[in-house]
Amino acid sequence: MSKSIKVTPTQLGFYFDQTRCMSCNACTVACKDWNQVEPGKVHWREQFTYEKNNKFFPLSIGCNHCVKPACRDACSQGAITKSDDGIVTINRKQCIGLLACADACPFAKPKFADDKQEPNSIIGWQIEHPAQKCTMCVDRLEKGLDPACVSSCVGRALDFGDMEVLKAKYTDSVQVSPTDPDFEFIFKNNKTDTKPSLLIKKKTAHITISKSSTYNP
Amino acid sequence: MKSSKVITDLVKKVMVSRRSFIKGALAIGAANTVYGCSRGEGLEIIGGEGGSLPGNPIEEVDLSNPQIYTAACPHNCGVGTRCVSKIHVVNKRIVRIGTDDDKLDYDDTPRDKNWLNDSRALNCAKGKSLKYKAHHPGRLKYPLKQTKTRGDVTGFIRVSSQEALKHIATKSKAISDKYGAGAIYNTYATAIGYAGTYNNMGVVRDALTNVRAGARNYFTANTHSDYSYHQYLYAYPLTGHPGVGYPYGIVAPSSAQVGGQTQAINVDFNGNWQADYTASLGADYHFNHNIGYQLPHVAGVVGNVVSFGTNATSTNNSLAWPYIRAMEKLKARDGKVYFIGPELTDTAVTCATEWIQLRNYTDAALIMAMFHEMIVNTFNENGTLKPKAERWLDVNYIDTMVYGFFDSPEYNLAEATGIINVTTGDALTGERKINAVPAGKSLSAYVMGSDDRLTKADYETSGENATYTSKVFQSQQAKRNGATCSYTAIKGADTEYLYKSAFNTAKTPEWAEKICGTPASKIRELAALYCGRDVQGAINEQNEKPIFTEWAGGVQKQNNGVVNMFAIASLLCVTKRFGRNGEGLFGLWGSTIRNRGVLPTGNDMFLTNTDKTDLNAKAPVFGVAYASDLKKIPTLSIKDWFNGIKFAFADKLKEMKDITGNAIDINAYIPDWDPTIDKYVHDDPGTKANVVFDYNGGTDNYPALDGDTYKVVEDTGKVRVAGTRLIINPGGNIAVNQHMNSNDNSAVLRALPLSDETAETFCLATFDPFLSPTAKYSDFVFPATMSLEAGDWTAVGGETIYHPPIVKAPGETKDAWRYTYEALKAQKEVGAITGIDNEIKKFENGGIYKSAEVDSLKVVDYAIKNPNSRFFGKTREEVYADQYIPRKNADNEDITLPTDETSKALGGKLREKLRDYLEDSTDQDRVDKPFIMFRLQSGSYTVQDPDSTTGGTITIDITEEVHGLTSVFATTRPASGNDVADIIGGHAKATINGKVREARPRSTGRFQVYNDMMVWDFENRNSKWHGHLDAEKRGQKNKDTEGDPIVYSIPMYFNFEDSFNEAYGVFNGKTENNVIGKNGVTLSTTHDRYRVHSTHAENPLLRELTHRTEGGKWLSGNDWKEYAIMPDRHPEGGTAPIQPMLSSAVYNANKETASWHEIWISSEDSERLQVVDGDLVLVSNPIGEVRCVARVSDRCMKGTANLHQGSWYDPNPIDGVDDGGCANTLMASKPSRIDNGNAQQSAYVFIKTTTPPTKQTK
Repeated sequence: MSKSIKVTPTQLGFYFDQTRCMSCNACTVACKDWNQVEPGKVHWREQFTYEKNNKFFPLSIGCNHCVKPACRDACSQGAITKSDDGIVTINRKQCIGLLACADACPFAKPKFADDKQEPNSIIGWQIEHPAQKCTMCVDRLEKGLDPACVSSCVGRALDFGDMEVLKAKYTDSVQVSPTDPDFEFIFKNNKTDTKPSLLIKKKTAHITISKSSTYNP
Repeated sequence: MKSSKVITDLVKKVMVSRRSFIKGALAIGAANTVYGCSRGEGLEIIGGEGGSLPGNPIEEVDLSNPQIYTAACPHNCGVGTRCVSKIHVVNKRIVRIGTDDDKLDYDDTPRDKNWLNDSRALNCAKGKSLKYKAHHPGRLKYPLKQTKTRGDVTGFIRVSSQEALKHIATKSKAISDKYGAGAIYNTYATAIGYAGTYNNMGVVRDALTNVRAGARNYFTANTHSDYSYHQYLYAYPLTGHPGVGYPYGIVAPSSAQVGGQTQAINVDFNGNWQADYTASLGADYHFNHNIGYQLPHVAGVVGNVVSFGTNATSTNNSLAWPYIRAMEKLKARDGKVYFIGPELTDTAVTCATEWIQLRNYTDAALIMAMFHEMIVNTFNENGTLKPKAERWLDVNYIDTMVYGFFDSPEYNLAEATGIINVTTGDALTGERKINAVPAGKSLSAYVMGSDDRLTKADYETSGENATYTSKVFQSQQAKRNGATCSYTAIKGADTEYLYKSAFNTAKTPEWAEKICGTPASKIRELAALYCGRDVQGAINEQNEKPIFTEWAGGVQKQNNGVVNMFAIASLLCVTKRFGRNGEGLFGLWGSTIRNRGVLPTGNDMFLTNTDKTDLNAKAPVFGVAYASDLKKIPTLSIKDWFNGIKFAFADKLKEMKDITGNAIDINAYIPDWDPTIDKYVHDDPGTKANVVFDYNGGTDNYPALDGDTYKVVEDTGKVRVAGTRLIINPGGNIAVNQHMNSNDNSAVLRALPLSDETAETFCLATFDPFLSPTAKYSDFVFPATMSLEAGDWTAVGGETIYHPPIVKAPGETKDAWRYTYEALKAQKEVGAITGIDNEIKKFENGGIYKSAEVDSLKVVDYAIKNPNSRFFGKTREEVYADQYIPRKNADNEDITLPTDETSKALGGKLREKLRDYLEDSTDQDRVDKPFIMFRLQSGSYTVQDPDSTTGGTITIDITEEVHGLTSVFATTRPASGNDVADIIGGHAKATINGKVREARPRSTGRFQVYNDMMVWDFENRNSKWHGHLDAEKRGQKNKDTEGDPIVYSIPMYFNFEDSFNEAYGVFNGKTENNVIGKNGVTLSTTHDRYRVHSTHAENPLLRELTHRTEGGKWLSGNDWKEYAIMPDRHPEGGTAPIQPMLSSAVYNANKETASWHEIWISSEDSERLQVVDGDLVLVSNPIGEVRCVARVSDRCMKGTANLHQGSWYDPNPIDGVDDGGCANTLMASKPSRIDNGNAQQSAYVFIKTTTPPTKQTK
């Protein structure tokens, strides 16, 4: 696919502010809406508020378009490529459904639909439901628009752009890494360090919970 | 790693599968597949493919070149500014819904949505997913008539809309002729307010009912209030706190500022509302009391936020960004955001710094304990005051300004001067009698229980601790409290009520901890906070700053919601938390967003010209001509329509059956109702009043206090019961789903015979795009357009945008204009109505009533031809795409407003005056001169003589300047017929049918944390209309099953256990099944983000965010193409088994995809209840049973659960359990205390794992 982005960054990526996300799922619905992903189990972007030890971690995450994409390396069919802009793309026509990408991706982002969600196949596909994932809305980028998830974010928790620019813009954010215990929810599959193109402003000030130790309802 | 089996299976699938490949095309939309439509011979679908052309293949290339319509979000959250939607349409199908993503504003200035001051309103998941609603395969296509039993889908036959409308018009005439307008209830419905400007099914409803007789309306003169804010509307004026509402009895303007809803709290015993005298504090009310306008103050000057349960960012999306950024700024200034409640909402996760757990329904107990802490830090045990610098409460302020915190003597208040006269008995001219707060009955006496320190505390007469008030009180009553708490239970220690057992208990933080689950130490900290102190009790600069106190809808939607709100407002009164910017009690009430941004000026920028102005005259309005009759219908509580059905048709309801066909034990299941004896439920004063009156003459059957006379109409010795006989439901789901006790609602509708054209049968008619549970239980269903299917104008923050019909509605769906026209023609056919021919003509041959698109096109074309317009030379399609103007950011980058500490509003002026009086005057001045909250400006006033029985007037001259506010009344004072007393409310002593009624207590002109007017109003509500009843049955019984009061003057804590034992029939002996303490949990039923009430329950893209399969994880639900699909209809008399594809039917058809609504359960209860995340659970109580999937979370407090309201009621025909997870299936009919409103967040439930029933084969 053509990737003629007006600016020519070396790696596009996302920024997510964990202190602002209000768990509204505008991003996930906007993603499905723009990319014509029907209702059903496949969500290119997922938003959920994780819980651990009475702390709460909102998270919105799609494909991280890694610098070293494990999915690409795992695909024996050469269906997954990385562009000069850093966008990682699945060519669905080349997919034969080995699932290796889904297993390799630390974030379990390559997804496979079922018949209900994807009732009609397209000529050229080799299987009914080839792998799919976030394209970074490359069709929007070509029009000078931000990805649908970023444009839709009501709480202004998502941003997008050249990773170096994002790092300069959001100095209080960190790049997601498998060694950071705060990000264990992100690494659903494995802890391969793929250099994900995702900056997160961490929620460091956690809510204090005042509960009675003697209360017995 | 995936198992090798998974991979093997997948490879197999690859090998065998080569089906339905489409050349180069994407399959778009939900309409391609309709589940389970086996269209056999003679069958015809009643629902089916959604709007527009089904199954149009969309070429991929088309997606990038759609027709775009800019519009306000088709879904209006109700309050606030609508968000921006850009509807992408290809081949008449909506393919995408975008939002305001322009990176430049209207004059090409760059803007970035992540800037703090960005003003745009981005639409949320609801707005973005509307294509699945518009093109839903379950859309209704044809008007339907029920022929079997309500709720039986197989009984629906297709009829013409004319035939159906004629039936309703005939019935409407018959009912209004015999039973009057009060028997027709114009229910309100989300689809009215949330739809467009012109395409509003409410107009159709009015054309069927109001056009003849002016039916009983929601929101207007004959029904109080609404389901959302019923208790709030009663509660906010109780204290007179200017940051909460205007004082009780001072009537708000009847203008649009507060809508007709204000009448809710102003009803006197007549059920009428008092005339409007003053804008007073009410004028500031709407502006000041919504969250949106206060957020810049939160960002800039507020010290801390205390939120009772808010989920503002979810409930009101356009408010979310202003809210989040304001809280960010507050926290950057070291402000704290305390969230108090049982469930940690999404808003709290994002914004709060501290979650103080509080069990639902117990807010008042928390506040009583805070008062206790304040009192013991103000008074020593011997009653003396602590040194001024150490005491937490400002006693001089409380004496001057707060009535009922301490006991006080009876006195007469000079209304013009504030002089207190305690030496004479009766009030003189210009005086009002203020009732004593009897010994041991004040709020502080209740709080302190048997602690006697306040009975030793002097009202002082001189020095720094004396005021004019304390000096005068002292002459009658030496000590602040005449006794320790003197509230008693008639049965004494034998009372079954927990709250009565606690009368003599000191309401300490430790007492509250056992009730609330809130740590006592945290209650002390909150008390200190409100007194401007830190945890150690020292003055704290941050805590002295304004506190932004927030209420949430759930706080006032409980059995004791009015009391909760009264308690919170009292807290603000006692701690002097008013009159500063950002300080008061704020909620999502009327939340208008402040940061809309700036639009360019000049009409040439917009679609606006004289043609458009004319549009205002083209929406027909009915009912106005009949408004004068409305005062002759008693005013009811919003929920009384349902009791009205029971009142009218009780005889038909003695043998009701549940959904499985089993007989219902009438005696037990509504504990306060026996259809053979008391046909009205819960001693409901509104229902009791709903009999037929002859107000056109006749003898005086009984006199009414306002001088009107009413004669009750009798048939063979019995009063003619109006009740509720016809409901036109314009796009709502209240009747079955959104009113408490859905099992009862539906059982009643099943039991009543179907509508015939007489006045003696009940009829429910619904206009809706879907066969919602209420539509399913209707006699008639009319398929209605959604907002995108009719041309209309909607506004995004002041910018009005026109959209043409964007997609075609399915089948015979019609818009409001077409139905209105047909309804009027039907009215004409069934009988002459004066003037109706003229109304009909206005629809015809170029008459002024036009479908909005007709004249709107003229507006569009005018702009296109206007060289000065920015639309000059464009095509219509280009105009539709370009209408929305990306606005300029208006806020400064800091987003805070330059603010003075003191509010400019009247509350601020009052605060300033009080400060002058209390702090800047000398001790002697303060002791010598009174302070009065309101008084007349200097001048001469003609008022009614309170002693005159013939309406005589007297003149009052106001000349003396005294401390207090001026100009409060003067500017809006009407010309004549005014009684100063009425300004603050009140009535003379009167005699009705020989029974002397005590005078209504008088407002004191101070903040009131003790409100005996409220009690009087409760006891006498609607009594004007009760002349047909024996004297002791008139008004409203203020006695519980033990003979003690139901309503008291102070906001005491009523244990929720008591309320449930009343609601479930334990206390009145209907059942011995005392549920309390048997391992249950208390249930909240808050809004979630993915529905608004029950709207969007059918939308698959939202449904998958709230539903899960059995044992499934987040996002496991996927009953798309199954849920809410309607089956084939039968020819009349058909018998094949069909049912709509709601949850239980989906389960029977395909267990793998069937999903249930989530219920949130505390992880601390997981072991006790033996429920783990993903379990299918049965949630039950004596009212009903639902099945849900458990979501086990740390965000739920121990002992509580949360089932978000609005899922569609779907009782499984096998076992009667609601598979839809409708929260109201678990709600008792018991009304809320004080206001007789809807207590729809009150349930005590048991939760255990379960399995769905197996489908029975017949």
